[in-house]
Amino acid sequence: MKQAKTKDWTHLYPRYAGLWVAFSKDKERVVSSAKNLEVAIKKAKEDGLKNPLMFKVPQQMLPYVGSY
Amino acid sequence: MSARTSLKFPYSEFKIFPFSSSRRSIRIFRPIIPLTLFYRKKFAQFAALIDSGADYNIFHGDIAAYLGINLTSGSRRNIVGIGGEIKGYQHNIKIKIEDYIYKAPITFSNQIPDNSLATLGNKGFFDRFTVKLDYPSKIIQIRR
Repeated sequence: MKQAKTKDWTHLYPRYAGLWVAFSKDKERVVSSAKNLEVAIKKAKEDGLKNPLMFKVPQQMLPYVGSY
Repeated sequence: MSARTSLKFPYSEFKIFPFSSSRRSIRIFRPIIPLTLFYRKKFAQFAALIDSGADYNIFHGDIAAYLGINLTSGSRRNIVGIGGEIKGYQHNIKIKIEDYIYKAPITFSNQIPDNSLATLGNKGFFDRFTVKLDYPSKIIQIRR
């Protein structure tokens, strides 16, 4: 079965563990990161992105089943 | 998005570890889509996991703070999952997915664990769209 091209986020961990990251328009390259969401967005906007895609990278990358 | 229009998104690929101290990583794929949240004059775009086992949309309290939402003014919600219970507050928020804009409840919480993801659940997402998660092809399709 033919697979679609997935978003490659394999580079997020461990480099950005626990941080908010802002992606470039390709939604793969990280343009800014910070512990604070507002700081990460501000940096990305300073880099020219009007509405960057934000994602909070988990502190640990373990198998996930929606834990609280 | 018209009634006959569907949107497609790719899965996101991660490198995970079977246990904390493991050196061996595994590549996995998660159904994560981008959406923009609006509150008054502020907006921001976030990536959220599609989870049909979740009753609600759950997002980090940081997001409410960024958008200027008074977190505790919402309706209180206690959410349980594997590992325990967290407290959150539900607010009706304008959500934009591609060109489709709608208003739906989102529960924001400052107690979401550091290992958890922003989640799109049944109320406010699955009740609005027909969702097809094609894991073999790694395609997420949503239709209204």
